[in-house]
Formats: sequence, C-alpha cells, structure tokens
Amino acid sequence: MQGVRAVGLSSVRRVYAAARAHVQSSTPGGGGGGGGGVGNFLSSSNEKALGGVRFASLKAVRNRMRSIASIGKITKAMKMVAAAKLRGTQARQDLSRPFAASVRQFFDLLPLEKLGSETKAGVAEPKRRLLVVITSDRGLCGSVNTNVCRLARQMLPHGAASPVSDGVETNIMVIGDKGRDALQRTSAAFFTTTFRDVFKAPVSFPQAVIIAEEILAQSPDEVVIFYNRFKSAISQVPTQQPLLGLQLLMDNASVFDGYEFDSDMDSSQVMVDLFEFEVATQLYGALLENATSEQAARMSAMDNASTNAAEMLDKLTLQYNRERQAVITTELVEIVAGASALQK
Amino acid sequence: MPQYWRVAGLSYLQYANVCAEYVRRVLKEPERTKALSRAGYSMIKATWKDGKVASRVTLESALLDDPVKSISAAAAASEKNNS
Repeated sequence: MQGVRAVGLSSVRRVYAAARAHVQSSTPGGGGGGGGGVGNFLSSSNEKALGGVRFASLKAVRNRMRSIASIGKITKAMKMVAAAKLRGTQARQDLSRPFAASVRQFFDLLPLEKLGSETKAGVAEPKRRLLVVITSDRGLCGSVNTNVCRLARQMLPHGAASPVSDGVETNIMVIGDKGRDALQRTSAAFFTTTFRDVFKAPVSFPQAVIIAEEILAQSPDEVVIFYNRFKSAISQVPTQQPLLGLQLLMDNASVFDGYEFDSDMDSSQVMVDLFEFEVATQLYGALLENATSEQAARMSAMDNASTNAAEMLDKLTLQYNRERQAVITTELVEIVAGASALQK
Repeated sequence: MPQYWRVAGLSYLQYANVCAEYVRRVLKEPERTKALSRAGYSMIKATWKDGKVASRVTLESALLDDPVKSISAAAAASEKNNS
C-alpha cells in the first residue's frame, strides 16, 4: 500500500518515499527525525520537520539569496531611473549654460583674488561671508555629498564655535537634507537657512530666484557656492565658486567703464540689478550642475551595487547547490545503508 | 527717475520673476502648459537661530496663481528684509 502511494512521483522521490516507508515500518519511534528531514527538504510546509538542523544553513542561504536578488532588482531599477533623470537634467543644463556664461563674462572683469586680499586688511567691520552648500536630499549617490561638505568645512574657521571669528562672520546656507545632516553635528551654530525638496521637481529659475533673494537678504560681502561640477557621467568635481558682494562690486565699478549702459536709469541701479541677476544665474547654474552630478553619481553607484549583487548571488547559488547536493548524497547513503542493513 | 517696480518695493529678481510668470500665462496652449509645468516648484525653507530651527515655511509656486497677491507678497518680503 505504501508503494502504491508513491506511484506517479518522480523517481528520486519514489526512492525517498519507499525508503521512508521502510524505516517507519521497521522502527516506528526512532525514524521520525530522518524521515521528517526528507519531507522538509521536499516540501517546506511540513511543520514537524523544523528540528531538521541539517538544513538550517541551506534555508538561510536560500533566504539570503532571495533578499540579495530583490536588492539587486531595486538597485538596477534605481540605476535606470537615475539614467533617465540624468538625461533630463543634462539637457536642461546645456540649455541654461549660455545665460550664466554671458553674465559671468561681464563680471570676470573684476580681479577677484586681488580684491579679496585688500578687503581683509582694510575693512574694520566684520566681513560677512556666506557659504552656500548645495547637496542632494536623497542618499545612495556615492560620495558627491560628502565631498562637497568636506570642501565647505575647510572654509570654516578652525575650531571656532561661533560664527564671528577673526573679524569674519561666517554663515552657512545649506540646500538639501544630506548636507544639513552632515554639517549639523559640527557646525549648526553657523546655519542661517536650510532648504529641502529643492531637487524634488526639476530645478527651475523661479526657484533659484527665491534662494538668491534669500542670499541677498543676508547682504554678505562674499558668497561662496559649493557644488559638484558635472565633468562627465563618471566624474564629478567638488567645486567652490566665490561671488563678490554688492559693496565690493560698487567700490570697484570703475573696471566696467568700458561698457556703456543703455538705460534711462543711473548706471549704479543697473549694476545692482545685474548683480542680483548674476547671483541668481550662478546659483541656478550650480543647482543644475549639482542635480546632474547627483544623478550621474547615483547611476554609477547603483551600477556597482547591481554588479556586486549579481556576483554575490552567483557565489551563493554555487554554495546553495553544493550544499543541496551534499544533503541528497547523505540521504541516499543513509537510505541505502538502512536498506542493506534490513536485508541481512 | 527710478523704475516703477522699484518704487513698488520689488527687487529686480522679483520683478523679473513676476514678468516671466505673466509671459508664461499669455502663451498659446501647447506651449503654455509646457512653460507652466517647467516653472513649478515646492520647497521647504527652515530658518536657523543658535544652532536650532527657528521657523519653517513651505515655498510654493502656487503663490503665483494670483499675480496681485504675489506682487504684494514679494514687496512685503523685501520690505521685511530691508528693515
């Protein structure tokens, strides 16, 4: 009757079932462990077989494989999303570049380095310097955020706890959650404003204007923007870009005498407007550069992660199969040994 | 003579922003939706004081739905900054 029940199963299973019947009929109490083990291997729903210690590692490996496979799927999907977003932001960036370049060209007439050293010696009141740190809201994008924060930290007065030190007042404006989290621990006292969700939708110029207004409202003597410059899809360079404050600009307005201002208004007003526009366009450019860098970095980070996951899965599959084979061999040996013992 | 928008208390950037919004609105249909969707945003600004968050505001492009309101809001903001 036991043999009839086994008809129709695969050949391997038939052997198991027959052997199980043998063992159970000969030793009613003792064979439960081994027989249960076989059942557990074939159908994991057998509750009685949970004591089968022999298969614990097999099960663990299987669970691990499953989780690695799904993580691999997620990282692969994230890579695809990053690649698609990268194309979008890169197109935006290319379109916006001429606007920033023309204004930049005009303001490049100012000898920036020379002015910086002069003011340090000459001006008595605390120089206000604003560091604008541009980071992303989300992680999993390699080291782009860490690099920018490290660069920004170098500009902070060493070991100082308050914003004013050596006649220079340093303030930090952080864009993005990651930079806020990274700098908050050491330099929260320097914070004036933080923004989040800036990169949630594609960066727009009105948005850059709002942030630029915030920068101008703090009337700094010098603004330094920290961001990742997008060199290529595999290379992003952490960059600091200084912008001069309005006061210094007005003091040195004579360098622009070569230009003729075609306006009904007096040229100083035009300079103020141009300066505001300069801050907004430079900030917009930096935001776009950083958004592009973030997506590029995420793409390569997720590509690496997917490769690693595939590699790990291969290794585990090999291990799993080896172990499975070993279990089968052991079972067969036990069955054959049991059967031959009974025959004698 | 200073510009009329400066008299109204706007800065150049705010003025440019409001003008750009109007231009987007008067575009013909396929371009109008495209241009308006490009300009949308929503972000959160937190103001810090002594290493702590003092206040949080959500800045949204929805403010520009009412141009008159947006102008007066911009003017109020710049007035606050100047004082």
